Amino acid sequence: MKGEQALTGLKVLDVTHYIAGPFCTKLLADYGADVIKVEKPGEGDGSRRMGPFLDDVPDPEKSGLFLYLNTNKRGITLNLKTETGVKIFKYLVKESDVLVENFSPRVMPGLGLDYQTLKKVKPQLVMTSISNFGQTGPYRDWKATEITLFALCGQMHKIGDPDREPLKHALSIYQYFAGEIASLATVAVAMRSANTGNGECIDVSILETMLGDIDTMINTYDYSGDKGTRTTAKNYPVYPWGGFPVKDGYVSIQGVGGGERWMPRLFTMIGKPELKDDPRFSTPQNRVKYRDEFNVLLYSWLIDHTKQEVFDEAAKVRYPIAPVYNTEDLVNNPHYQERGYFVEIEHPRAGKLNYPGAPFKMSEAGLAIRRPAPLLGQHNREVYCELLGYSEHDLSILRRCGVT
Amino acid sequence: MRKGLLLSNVRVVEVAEGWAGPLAGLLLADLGAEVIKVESINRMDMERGPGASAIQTGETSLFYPSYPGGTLGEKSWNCNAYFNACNFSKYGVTLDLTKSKGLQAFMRLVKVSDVFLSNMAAGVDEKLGITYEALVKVNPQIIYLTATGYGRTGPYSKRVAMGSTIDAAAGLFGLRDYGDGDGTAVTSDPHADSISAETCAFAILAALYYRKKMGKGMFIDASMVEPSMSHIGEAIMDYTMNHRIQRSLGNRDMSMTQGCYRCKGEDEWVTISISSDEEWQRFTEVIGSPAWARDERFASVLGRLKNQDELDKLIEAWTIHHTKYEVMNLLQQANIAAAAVLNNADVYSDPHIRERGFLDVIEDPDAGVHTYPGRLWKLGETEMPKRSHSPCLGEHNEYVLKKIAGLTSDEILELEQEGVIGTTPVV
Repeated sequence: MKGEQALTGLKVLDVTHYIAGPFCTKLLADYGADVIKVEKPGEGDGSRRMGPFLDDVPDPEKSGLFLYLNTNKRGITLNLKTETGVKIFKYLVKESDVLVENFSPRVMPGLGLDYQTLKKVKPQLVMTSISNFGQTGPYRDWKATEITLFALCGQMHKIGDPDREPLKHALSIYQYFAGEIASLATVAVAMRSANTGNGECIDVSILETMLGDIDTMINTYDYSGDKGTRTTAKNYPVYPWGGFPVKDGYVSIQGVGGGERWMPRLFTMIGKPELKDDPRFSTPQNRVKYRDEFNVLLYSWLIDHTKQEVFDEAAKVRYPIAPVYNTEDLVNNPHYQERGYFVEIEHPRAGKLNYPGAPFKMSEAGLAIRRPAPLLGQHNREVYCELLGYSEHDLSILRRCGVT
Repeated sequence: MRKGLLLSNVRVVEVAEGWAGPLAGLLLADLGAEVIKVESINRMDMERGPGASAIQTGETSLFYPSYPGGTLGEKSWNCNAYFNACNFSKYGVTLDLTKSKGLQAFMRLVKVSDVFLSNMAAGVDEKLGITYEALVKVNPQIIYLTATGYGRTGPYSKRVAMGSTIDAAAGLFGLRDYGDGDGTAVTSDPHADSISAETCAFAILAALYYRKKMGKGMFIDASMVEPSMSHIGEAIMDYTMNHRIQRSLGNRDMSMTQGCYRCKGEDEWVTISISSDEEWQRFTEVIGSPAWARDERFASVLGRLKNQDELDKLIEAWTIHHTKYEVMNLLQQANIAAAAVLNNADVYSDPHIRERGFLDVIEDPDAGVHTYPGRLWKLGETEMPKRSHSPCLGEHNEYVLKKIAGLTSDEILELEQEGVIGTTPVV
């Protein structure tokens, strides 16, 4: 079939907001699923208020975060705090294979839309819930931001300068991480449900996805009692490792701890192949011991080169070094451009813009942009009238009563 | 609760090492796929740690924290905490793919599998003769995923990469500093490995969904850098919309009063995020409504952001008199997002994680009984089987080669004698 994508045919009802939930359903939508996004009338998804905004002018239809996270979805408005709204929501559930939500755990049961209730509406339903701490446990109703969760998962303790306070990771990357875990669990469960007719509810805790990230706090402690310490290039137990200054910024050098075969390549790169026979630098222990001496040699070479030059020189000797890119570097990078990573999408209000595109490439049936992010309530008529069979007249009554 | 698996009819052949590839295989195994991990006694998964020669030279001391008791014991390659956390429930088989008999046996596995998952560096597949073109001849419906640092096309396609260099090349590293742009004050971070893993798993599931509909396999080119960029969407959009290059704000936030503050004790910290006037009001009540809290400069969201240097000192003057847990509990009771910065030991005994039943206790034949992070999702209606231990090197040679690849006992013995398979690393 023409235009058939990997997940074409999967019907998803999406009551998510901000980042984790919308990224989960974005992945499903970008690879072909039919996603209907339900937003609160008048206000919409909170990410519409977060920006960054086009030209820095706050406008719910011009938030870069919202535009990016909601590609390929159809958008409707529905007030779940009305009885009629809840009833209509159940009709939508009936039409869907999958429901994804990321409210705090008390919200859906409070609306009478818990899994046990919805299972009666649609026995095959797969309901995916994403929350900060999961649907159970003593912290369930605690308040959290990205930094809250990063602190509790044990990773923050290990990031930053040992002489300073622990440091948060970039932006909200663990919200994205959890959303993606939810998306893969959802597809797996949906495949089984299609086979067996059995429904399911999936509980994804953002905190747990961070703990399962492989910088393993739990088992390192269990194996050896190691509590973890903050490390930088100054004190990391492998040298060289971390961020190093170059002419126009920084590069990240990986030390490849156990791999002695790698080191001569680095010595060659800085024009000193003879260092491989220098006892100060020929074992991992000695490189740590003579860190300052090695720094003199490494820094003086690096500072004469730009980050891109270092990257290119490292590629010649096959040593893992990469430039610390900023977003301008990313968007203008010839490799990412040649791979067609950034895609131009035209939106009725925000116009033509470049967006991050396919996270992976399939030889067929891969990512396609079928539509930009929806305007608030853009597909109300399409969904309520064509899918659920309401008349235009019904729709105007629902609008007047504050339901849509 | 029903018992059962999700991907009960999916068999995956994994030729992967380190974190990203094996973690992708683990996500599939955790969903119930049968994952066969292929290594070689000449080239085992590097995450097992060094082989015999490196042990003699003492090269491994840097990694002692990941071995039982912090020391390197016998059969250390079966005892590495990192390896043992990334490979649960997989069958472990050794096959030297540089030898023709190894490659033949491997192709027999491919023939009866659904998915080939690999994170070998670009070019290794050609060297070994296990390209998509070679595998699809044996199994026309195969889903073939290759994960490399920068992807299989484009000018960087042959470049060496690790999770912590991709962290830089994808823009994550540059958005993580104390807000002063000093790139030497933070370490490289391998989180890109995890992003790659989940992306590979999602890609494979999407391909399985497609194959079920259309009866066709496919080739998947998964870089590590592209999915990592997809996790900083708002910063990229700010550049494409406004030509603004976003910088790290350290622990601060654009719209909240947020920071990490020193508490009572040695290297003890708490994070606090205050997002609204109401939360600010509740915060000042919790800390005993000191006079400075009524200062005009702190009376609005904008004022608090503008004067945060001073405000941070005042907040820390309060937190320093309390333990991180006291601050967390007091503020969470007032519905304010505060968290103790937990170290490995704190996480290990955290009551919420324990009560959720998140942790798995698993016995390895050589490493013993240990506690690990569990599956990253909970199912309400299905009881998934308990995970089994990560395989020892070559642990399932006999089972996999006989029952799955269909080799005879004689053929297996021959492979053993010729050093194609084994259970002890050669290096």
